[in-house]
Amino acid sequence: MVIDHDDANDVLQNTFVKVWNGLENFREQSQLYTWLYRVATNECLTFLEQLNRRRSDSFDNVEHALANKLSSGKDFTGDQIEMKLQQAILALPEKQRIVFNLRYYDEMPYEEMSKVLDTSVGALKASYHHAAKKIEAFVLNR
Amino acid sequence: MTPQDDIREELKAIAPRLNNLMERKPTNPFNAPQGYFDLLPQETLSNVKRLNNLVGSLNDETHAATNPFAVPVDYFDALPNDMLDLVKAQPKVVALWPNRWKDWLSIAAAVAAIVLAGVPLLKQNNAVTRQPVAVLRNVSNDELYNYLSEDVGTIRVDEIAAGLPDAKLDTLERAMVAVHTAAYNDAEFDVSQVDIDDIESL
Repeated sequence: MVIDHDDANDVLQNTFVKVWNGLENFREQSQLYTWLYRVATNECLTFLEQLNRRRSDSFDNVEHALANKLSSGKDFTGDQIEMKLQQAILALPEKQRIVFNLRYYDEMPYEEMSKVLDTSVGALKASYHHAAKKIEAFVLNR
Repeated sequence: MTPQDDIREELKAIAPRLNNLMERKPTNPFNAPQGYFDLLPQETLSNVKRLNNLVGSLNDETHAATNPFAVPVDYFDALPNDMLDLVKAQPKVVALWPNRWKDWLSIAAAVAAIVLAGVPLLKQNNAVTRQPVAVLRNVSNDELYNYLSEDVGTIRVDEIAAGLPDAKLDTLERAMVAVHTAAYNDAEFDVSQVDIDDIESL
């Protein structure tokens, strides 16, 4: 989601710090795995929002900045098709990007994803459908 | 069928051409530095400790009780008197609707002066334009002949006739028709054709 390894490290550290400090409040209504994903997703979105706010005086948007990081190839080991797939994923709206990443890379079932993102299964399926269609069009047309 | 197979089938149904491109199992194309995950627990714990120490030191009594901002010497001793001085000073009263009778008086005087100066001028002007008879009586016959001879094309009956009674207008009109007829025929203007008595009688 954040492309850059240093940014991913920051998000991960914040996630674990929050989990550590909030462990007492964990009500065990959901699995620890689901809770961890939820905290990590929220941290990730907060990080991107902060990044967007910091860049509000710039003509570039966050997605463009992330695409630049991706093309710099610092932490990227994939081939050309994977690069194109990542570029297509970056072009998606934020929510669709999360849903596609959780489904395609993390192979998360919709029921689990529904608990992590607090969204209905139907809405998640629709998001994934739109995301896959957009990615297909992006990859084949460019 | 495994969940992974379900996901592949789903993608195949939604975007078959994309699925063909991504034949192999999805792998994370991003890498992490060597040994990153080995060091992660230790690093995370040290960050938690650092944050807890920071929060703890802020809640510490020694830090909480100390005001880091300084004030000038004897500031608080002088403060009551300074405040009383401010209270004693009578503020200037600014009327919501100020009485501007002087301004209005000036405006009224200016309007009155314009009216008083303008009325006689207006009357005089009317007297000149509305009494052509009196003006014509002061003009000598020679001047009248010269005027009619030289300014045939520019004579305007309506200007001369302004303010004349209808009976006098007929007389003036006859004289002017004679002048214009001569000018139209390009004939030498014969002043004798004008009945000067008619004009004088105006």
